[in-house]
Amino acid sequence: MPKIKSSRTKRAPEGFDDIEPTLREFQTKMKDAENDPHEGKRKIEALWPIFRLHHQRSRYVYELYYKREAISKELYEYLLKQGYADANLIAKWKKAGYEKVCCLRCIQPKDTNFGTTCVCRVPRDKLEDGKVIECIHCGCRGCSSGSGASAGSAAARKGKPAAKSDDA
Amino acid sequence: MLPLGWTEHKAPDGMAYFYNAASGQSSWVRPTMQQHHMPPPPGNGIPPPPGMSGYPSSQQSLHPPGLGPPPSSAPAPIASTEDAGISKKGKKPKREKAIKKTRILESPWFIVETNLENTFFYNKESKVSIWVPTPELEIILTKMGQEATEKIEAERRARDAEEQERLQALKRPFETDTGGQGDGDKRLRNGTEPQGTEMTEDDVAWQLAAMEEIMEDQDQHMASQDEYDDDDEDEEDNNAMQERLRMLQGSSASRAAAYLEILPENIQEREMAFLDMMRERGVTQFDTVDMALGKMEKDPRNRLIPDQKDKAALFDSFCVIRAREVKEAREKERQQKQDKEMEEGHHDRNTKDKHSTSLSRDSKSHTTTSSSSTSSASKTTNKPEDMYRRLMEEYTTKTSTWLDFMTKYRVDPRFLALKPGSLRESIFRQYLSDLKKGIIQPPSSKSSSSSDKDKRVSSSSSSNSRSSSMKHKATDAEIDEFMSLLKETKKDILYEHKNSSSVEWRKIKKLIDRDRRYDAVGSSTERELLFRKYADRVIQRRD
Repeated sequence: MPKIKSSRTKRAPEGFDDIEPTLREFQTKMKDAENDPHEGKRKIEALWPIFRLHHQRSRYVYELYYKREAISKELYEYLLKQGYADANLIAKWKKAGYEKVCCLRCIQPKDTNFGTTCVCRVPRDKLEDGKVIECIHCGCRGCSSGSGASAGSAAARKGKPAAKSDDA
Repeated sequence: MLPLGWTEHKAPDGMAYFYNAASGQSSWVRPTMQQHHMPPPPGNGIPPPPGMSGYPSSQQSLHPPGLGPPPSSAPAPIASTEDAGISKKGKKPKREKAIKKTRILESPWFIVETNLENTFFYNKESKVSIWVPTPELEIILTKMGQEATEKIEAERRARDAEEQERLQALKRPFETDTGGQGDGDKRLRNGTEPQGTEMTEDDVAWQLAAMEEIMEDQDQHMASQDEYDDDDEDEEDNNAMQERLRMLQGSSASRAAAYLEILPENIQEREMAFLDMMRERGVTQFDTVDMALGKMEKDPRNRLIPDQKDKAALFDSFCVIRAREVKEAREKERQQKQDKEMEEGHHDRNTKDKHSTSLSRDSKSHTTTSSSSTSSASKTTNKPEDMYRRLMEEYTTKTSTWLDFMTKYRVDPRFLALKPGSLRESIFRQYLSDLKKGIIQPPSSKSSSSSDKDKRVSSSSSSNSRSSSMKHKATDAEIDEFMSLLKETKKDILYEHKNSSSVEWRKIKKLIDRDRRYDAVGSSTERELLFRKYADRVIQRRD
């Protein structure tokens, strides 16, 4: 999805300037995550920040439109089109029971050996206590709706904690 | 975290880039950590972002990427002159040395000052030195700043409390003694109880000094009077003093202390205070949860609500409230502008045109622009009903029917603007009956107000269907109109005639169906008749 503004692209609808700094921040973080060296990480672990940021960014747009109603429909659709948020992921969030789903891979039964969903979809209380799960797809630690956390910290529970940590 | 020598800067388009002053590299990509132990080279102006050859390198303050300054050279953007000066004098450039290292509380960070007047931040643990503090470091720095101010405040308070005590001690002897000391007592009292609440530090200092003079005389008395301590009085005055001190300082810290005292149990009040804090701290509905919490960290009211989840929940509801407020404010603005337009429209249409276009440029909503820029005669009305009326006026004649009108113009925005669909038909019928009765004259002034017509019209006013029994014969004017339309189809008639011997009304009808003048003649049979006559004439003439 092109995020570069050329003279051919359409102008962003009103209200884009308010959210632009946050979106840009996500963009830089994503870039950092992409360019991170792979030292000290498992092969799959290197991808977890990507999924996490993707979730966070889409979550931001979703909340802005559906929860806070802070942006217009026009702007929302523009954002979806330009690739600032994942429309398919947001579609899942609108469904009952999938409000906090971490990524689309984790609910895809075809990806598992037994045709189930990922382990991160298991609610906390069903999981034996004390076991910290990090799912292999995205490093999620539990994204069922009953896992007992607000949406903001759902992303925090995926991958590494502390979203703002800049330490390598 | 940036490895040594790398600094982060912002390009004009907002993206961040990284520059290594030593190697002169500039990169869009964050460099990976390496383990070195070196203080950072002195910063020289603003290094340009990578890949920006057109970047203003003409400015003196900028350093071209190829010319990274040697680590031990003298700093300063005006390097050229300094260098020249130094080389002239033949001096060796000064070696940069750290003069002062201040540890930032409880962290491995130091603030280092060098003899060349540079200040940078150094992390002893990770051996990182940076010019610009990272966000985390900034937080620590602010904390340090806060603690410093708090220390100062505490000291001041302690000092004032001390002075206060002395006052008390002094008062007591004055109270017991009478006579000669009475005046002094009054003077003191007046001094200590300020008229307004403005007791500046100067006053306090002055009083302290005055106190000390008198105290020297009263030392013995004080010692003996200690037993006569009246605790209640002390506390009261102490509290009064404290209050004045608070007002003096006017610091948010003391206010916050007041808050925390006031609201121990009351949850609602705490939530309100929390919301107020969010407002004050500039939390917008566009912030992420983390950003919002970061903004509120410094505010002591943040502690009112301990639970993280509750904070997030409150923030969400705050966002909704804010978004609604903003929307309402914008709606109000638009309404006001609309009203303005309406007013001015009544006064002067010409000036209003210009005004409305300028207003429409300013206003964000597109609907007002579109409506105000329509070039129809009556610009003041934006209501859908009026637009619908205008649509009707344009396209309906006395012989129109609802069915035809609807099928032809249901795609028109003016048609659709009138929201309840059922209304459209009733309004249309009403309008039609008015037309026929002659109550309303059709806008396109045809000569149709003859009494003959009215008589004819009145008989058929009740029904609008095209049953020929109810239809009246078309007037001459209407016939003329229809004929003019037919004349346009002359070519088609001839064409048809060439291909097939008979010209079909059906086909021709389709061509002229949409035209306004088609409806001029009401009766379909009449239309066909007219067409036949015309077609025959055309063919005859040709032949």
